[in-house]
Amino acid sequence: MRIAMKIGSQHALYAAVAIVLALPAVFPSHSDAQTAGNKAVYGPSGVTFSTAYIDASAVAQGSNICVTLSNILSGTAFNNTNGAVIDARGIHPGTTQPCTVDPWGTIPSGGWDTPATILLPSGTITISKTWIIPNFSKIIGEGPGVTTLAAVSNFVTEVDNVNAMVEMGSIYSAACSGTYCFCGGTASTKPADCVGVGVRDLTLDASSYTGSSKIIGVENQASQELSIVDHVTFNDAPISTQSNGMLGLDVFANQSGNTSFPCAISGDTCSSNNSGPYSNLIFTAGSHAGAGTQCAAITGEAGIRGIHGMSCSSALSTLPAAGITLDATSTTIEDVYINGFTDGIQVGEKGLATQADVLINITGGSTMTHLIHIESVDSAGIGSSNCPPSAGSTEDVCDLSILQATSATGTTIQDDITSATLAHSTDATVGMYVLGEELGSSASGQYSRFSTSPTYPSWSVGNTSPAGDSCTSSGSLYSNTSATSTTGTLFACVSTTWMAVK
Amino acid sequence: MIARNAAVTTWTYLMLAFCVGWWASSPTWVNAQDTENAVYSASTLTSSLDYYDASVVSGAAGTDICSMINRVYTFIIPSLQGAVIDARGISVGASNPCTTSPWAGLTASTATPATILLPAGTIVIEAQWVLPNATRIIGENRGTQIAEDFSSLPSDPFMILMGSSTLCPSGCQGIVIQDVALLSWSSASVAKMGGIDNENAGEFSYVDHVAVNGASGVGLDGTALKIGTGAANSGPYTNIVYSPGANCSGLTCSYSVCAQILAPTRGIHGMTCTADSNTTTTTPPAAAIELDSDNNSIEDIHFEGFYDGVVVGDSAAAGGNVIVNVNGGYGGDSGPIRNIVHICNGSAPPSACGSTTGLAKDLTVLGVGVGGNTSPLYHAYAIRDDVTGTIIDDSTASGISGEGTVGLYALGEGAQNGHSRFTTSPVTSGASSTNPSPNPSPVWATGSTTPSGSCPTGAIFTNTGGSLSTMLYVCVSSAWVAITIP
Repeated sequence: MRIAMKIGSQHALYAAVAIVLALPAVFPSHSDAQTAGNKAVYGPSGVTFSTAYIDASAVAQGSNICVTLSNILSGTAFNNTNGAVIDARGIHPGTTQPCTVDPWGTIPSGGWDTPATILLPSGTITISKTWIIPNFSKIIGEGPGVTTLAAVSNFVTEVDNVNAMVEMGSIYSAACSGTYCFCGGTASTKPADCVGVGVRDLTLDASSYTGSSKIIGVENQASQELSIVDHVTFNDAPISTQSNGMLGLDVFANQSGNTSFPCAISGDTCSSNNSGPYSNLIFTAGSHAGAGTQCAAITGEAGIRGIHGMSCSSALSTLPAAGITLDATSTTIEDVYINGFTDGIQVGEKGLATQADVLINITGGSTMTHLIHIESVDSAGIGSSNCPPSAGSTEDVCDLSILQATSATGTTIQDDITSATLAHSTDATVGMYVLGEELGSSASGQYSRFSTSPTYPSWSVGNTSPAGDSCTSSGSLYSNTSATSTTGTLFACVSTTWMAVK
Repeated sequence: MIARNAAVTTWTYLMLAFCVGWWASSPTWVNAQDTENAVYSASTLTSSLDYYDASVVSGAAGTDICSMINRVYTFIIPSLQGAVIDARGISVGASNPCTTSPWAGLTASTATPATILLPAGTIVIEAQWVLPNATRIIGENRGTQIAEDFSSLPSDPFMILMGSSTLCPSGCQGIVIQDVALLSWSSASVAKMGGIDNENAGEFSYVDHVAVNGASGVGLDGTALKIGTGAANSGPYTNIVYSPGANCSGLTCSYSVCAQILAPTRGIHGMTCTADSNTTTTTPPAAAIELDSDNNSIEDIHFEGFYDGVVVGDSAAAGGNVIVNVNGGYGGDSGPIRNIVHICNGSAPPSACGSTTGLAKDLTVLGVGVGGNTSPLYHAYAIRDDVTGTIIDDSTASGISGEGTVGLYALGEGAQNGHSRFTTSPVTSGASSTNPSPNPSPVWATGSTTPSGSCPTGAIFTNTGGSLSTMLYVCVSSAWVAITIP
C-alpha cells in the first residue's frame, strides 16, 4: 500500500513535470517578455506573442472602458514604445457602456508625448467628460452609426473648460511645467501646435445632454498639419427641448489680435491653421434640439483645408440661424447639402477677414431661407465692403468664389454687399458667382463681380441678333457671333431691351 | 516486477502528459506556418492567413525590419497570393538600420501584392525602397519615421520609388504610401535627396498623410514628391507636408521643390510647403510646386519660404489646370514668398520660370491669399502672369504687403495679339514702391450708380440703374468714360 501510494505520488509528480516541460515547447522564446494585451501569433516554434498592437480587451480591466484605456496610456507597456495602436474593439462590443474619464485625462508631468491610435468598439460609449486627443494621436471607430460616443446628461468639460465632446489638442499648459500638456512645445512660445490628430469613423451624439451651454462635437483650436476629421456623424435628437443645442464642428484658426477668440482668454492664440480636411460629415438635429443648433463654424484668418463633403440638417420648427458659419480666410467648402436653417452657409457675419474662400457644389433642401448668405457688417452698412481693409477697420467679405449652388426654396444666394438676390424662383441653380472687390473710394458701391445668372448683369453669347428682344437684367452684355449680322455684334440690355452698342 | 511495471507506467504517464500538455496548448500548430496569425477555432488555437506577423519570422538574413519583411515575402507567402504583412511588432531604431530594401531580390513575378503595416519609431534605411506593383505601405501616422542615411546619392535621387519599369513592365497600379514621415537621419550627409518619385504607377496609386522633413540634418532637401510622365491618372496626393531642411537658412537650397507634376493626375489636395529660407540674404528655393502638365487640380495649399508657390508651365506645356485655395506668406521663423501663383511665358523667362519651353494656358485659379509679415521687404504678389504681363498685387494702399486676395483669375488662350482672360481682382496702373510698373487688370464691375474714382484701364462698368447714355462705361486712362448706346 505504501509502495502503491509512493508510485502514485511519483506518477503525479512526473506528470506535472512533463506538463511544465511541455509548455515551454509551445511558448519557446517570448514567455518571459510577453505582456497582457500582446497578440498571439505563430512563430517558428509555435504560438508566441507580438507587440504589433495592444489588445485592450486582454489587459486588466478598469471600472469601464475609458479607465482601462487610461491605465494603458499611463502604463509602461505603452510608454516604452514609440507609439502604439491600442485595439479596444474587443471591450464589450455592441453594447452600451459608460466612460467616466478622459482616456488622456491623467496627464504626465511633462505632458503627453507617446502617440496612440485607439480603435474603438462598436456600440455606444456614454462619455461623461471631454476627450482631449494629444499630439499625433487618433481615435477610430468602426464606422458612423456603429461606434457612438454619446454625451451624458450632465456632461462636463476637461481641464481647459471647452465644452466639447472631443478636442483636437488643447492650449492647456497649467499642469505641465511650462509645456503644452497635449501638444508639446514650450507654452510661452505661442501658439500650441499639435500635428496629426485625427477623429474618424464614428458618431458623436449629444441627444442626452441637458446642460445650459452649447455642446460642441469636435473642437479644434490647437491642431494644425495633418489633423483631420473624417467619416463622422454628429447627432442631436433629444426627446425634450434642449437648452442650447449642438455645434458639430468648431474650428478656430489664428486671428491676430482678436481678444474675443476663446484662446485669448488664457492669453494664448488659436492655431488650427492648415488643419483638415474635414470630410464626409453628417450633422442631424432633431425637432427638440436647442435653438443654437449649428453644423459647423470656421473662424480665423489663417486658412484651413476646408470642409469636403457634409450633409447638414435640422428638424427644428423655428429654423436655427445658420448651418455653417464661415468667418475665415482661404477656406474651401465643397460638396455640401444643407436643410432646416435660415442660412445654409453664412459668410462673414462676425466682421472678421473673410476672403479668398471658395464654395463648390452647395445644395439646399426644402426648408431654408437663404442657401448662401453673404453678410455685410462693415460700419458703412449694406452696400459697402471694406476689402482689402483700411488699417484698424472692420473687415468684410471679398474675393469669394461660388461654383454651383442649387436651392430647393427661398434664395440661392443672398449678397448683402452688392444687394443681389438670386432667388430660387429665378435661379434655382447658379453656375458661377464671384464677388471680387470694391473699386474706387470706400463705400462707392462699385464691385467687380461676375455671375452666370442672367438675373444680374452677365455676358451672353449667341449667333443671332437679339436686337429689340427683351432681356432680364439691365446692364447685361451680349456678343453676337454671326459674321453676317447687320444689326450689331455687341449688345447691352437697357431696361428690358437688347440695344446694339456696336 | 513491481518496480519494472512502475517504471513503465511512469514513462507512459510522462509521454501522455507531455502530449496532453502540448495538444492542450497548441493542438494544430504543427500545421501552422511561421508568422501566421493565431486565432481560436472553437476552443482551440489555430492559424489564420488573414495576415502575416513579420516580427516573429525565422531565418531572416538580418534582424532589421527590412530583412524580416523580405523573409516573409520570399519564404512565407505563397507566390502571388497577396497578403497583409504586419511589421508593427518589430523593434526599429538607429542600432538596427535597413541595409537593403524589403523588396530586394524580388521580381515582377515574385513580388506578391501586399499591404505592409509599419511600426512607430524610426526606420533608418541605407538603401532605396522600390515598391512593387500593388504594394501599400502604411505607418502609424507621423509616429512612423523612415529616415534616410544613404552613403551616396542614388541615380534616381529619392528615398522611395513607386514602382519601376523592371517591377512593372506594363505599368504599376495600386501603389500606396500612407501615414508615414520621411526624414534625413542625423548622420545623413548626402544633399539633394528627394522623398517620393512616381514614374511608373498610375491608377489607384496615391500618397496620403505623409510628412517630408529634412530639418534634422543634411539630406532630404531635394524634391519631396515627383510625379513623372509615367504616372498618368495616379493620385490624389493628399495631406502632405514638406520642410526641406535646416541648411536652407544659411546656405543655398535652390534645388528644393515641394512637388513636381509632369503628368495628368488626380491632383494634389492639401499640402504645406515650408522652406526655412530668407530671400533677402540667400537664394531661396525657386518653386514649391512645379506644374508642367495638363489636367491637374491643386487645392488647399499653403506656402512659406519659396520664391514662387505654384509655377505653371515652366518646363513643359500646362493647360486645363485648376488651382483652388492657395495661400502663402512669411510665417516669422520661416522664409517669405514672392509670388503665390506664377504663370510662365515660354518666350520670356524671368526668375523661377527658368525654361523657355513652357506654355501655360486654360488655367483657372480660384481663391488666392497673401498674408504674413507686413514689411515691404517681404512684399508678395498673389498672381504673377508672365503670359499677359500682369501682376495681381493686391496690397494695401501704402504698397505694403498685408492681406491680398484674389477671387477668380482665369487665363484662356492667346488670340489676336491678346489673350482671353477674366478676373475679379482689379489692379490699377498706379505704381507703388514694390510694384513700380504694374499692368492694369481690367475687370467687369457693377453698381447702381454712376461710377467714380480711379479704375483699371480697360475695365467695364455696368450701371444697372442707368439709361442709354449712362448704362455702360469703359475705363480709359484710369478714368470711367461713358459709352453711349445709339
